[in-house]
Amino acid sequence: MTGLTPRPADRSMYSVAEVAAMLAAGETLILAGEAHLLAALPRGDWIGGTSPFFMTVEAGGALDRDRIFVQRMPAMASIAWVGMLDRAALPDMAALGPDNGYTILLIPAHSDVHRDFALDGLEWRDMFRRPVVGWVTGVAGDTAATERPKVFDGRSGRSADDQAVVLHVALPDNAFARADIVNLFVPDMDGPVLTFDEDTGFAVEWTMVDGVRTRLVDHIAAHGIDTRLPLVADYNGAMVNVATADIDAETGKVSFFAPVHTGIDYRFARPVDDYAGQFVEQLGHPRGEVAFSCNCVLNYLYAELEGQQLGAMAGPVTFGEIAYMLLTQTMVYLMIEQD
Amino acid sequence: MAGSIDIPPVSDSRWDALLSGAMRPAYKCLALRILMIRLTHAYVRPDADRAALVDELHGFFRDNLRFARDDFATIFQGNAQ
Repeated sequence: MTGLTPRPADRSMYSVAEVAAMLAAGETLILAGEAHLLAALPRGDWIGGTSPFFMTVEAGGALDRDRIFVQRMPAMASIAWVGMLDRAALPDMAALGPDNGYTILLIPAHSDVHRDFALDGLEWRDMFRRPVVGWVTGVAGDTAATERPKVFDGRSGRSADDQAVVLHVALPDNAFARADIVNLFVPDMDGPVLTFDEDTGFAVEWTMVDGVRTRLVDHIAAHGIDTRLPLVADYNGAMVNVATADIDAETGKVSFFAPVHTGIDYRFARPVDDYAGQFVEQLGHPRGEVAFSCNCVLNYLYAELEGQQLGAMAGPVTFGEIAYMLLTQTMVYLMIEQD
Repeated sequence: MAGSIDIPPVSDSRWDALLSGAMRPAYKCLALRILMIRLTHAYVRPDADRAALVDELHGFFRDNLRFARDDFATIFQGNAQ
């Protein structure tokens, strides 16, 4: 555990026995994998969440149900606080963190903490005091009927489907963390502006289309909109997606993987032709060392990323991404820079 | 973690100009882009605690100046419109 920068890995996926050996050697790990793999690990300095999909160093995009994805905490860093937080405690999570560092937050999909963070997280006290990144945990479609998304706290040996796990990481004074995103989707400026005042949140029926009250499902049908393309809002230059999850044919309600908010202008996105190529171009060469990244399962599926490389960015493929707020169809990364 | 750079006091009129929209620089860092959506929406509400919102924005630069230094320079060193 020496050196001042995160060590580049030559691979991402490891067996349970290999991860156990890393923990025995004193490493602090951020892990992703299926629940039965994470549950088999010994106690130690690790947090984890469920996902069977990954962007790996060695094979690009991969579905792997036998191994665990490993992200090591940088050697210069130390744990300031780690543990599970329930719905009542999570809004105060920032108070547990260090003066200088960052926070990794893993939240199980379909839980109250997922919903609370998505709807109200930006209002929580001191959420911008230090970078907050993380992801929403999930399960593969073929196990959705029997398995629930989970998070794991390695120190206590506990798992949960209704709490978040939080890792506050402290950095030395000569280093700092910076969160950023890569989102290839931009709003189609030829399309109308959609606003949501009457219905907001994860599921809506009515929207205003260029100021005209319209059922969203009718707007989608009338214009032949490909709902694999997210709604996009411009947050002062940061493109924030809201991905469509489902359209209920009976009620006409459209549900999303992240909420729509009042007071925000949305447009459906333009198509992205070459995800992998454009991704590498937009990512460029950010300063510092990568300490964390994740990418959305919808990008993995829709852009057919299995077997494709996305530059040097490896991380779990996730069911919602966190960079201060809940994002979808977005790649999140955290860099460590030194003065 | 402000280093040797002095952050203007909360009484500086540029804080309110940023939150009211009178000053609209093109923000570079992700955190500020997201935070300013929330703060500017809150600032225009009739019941807004505008002093608290200025405090929050001031605190953001105090805590994050090392990665927000380009935005800080744009706002406070003469390049904002």
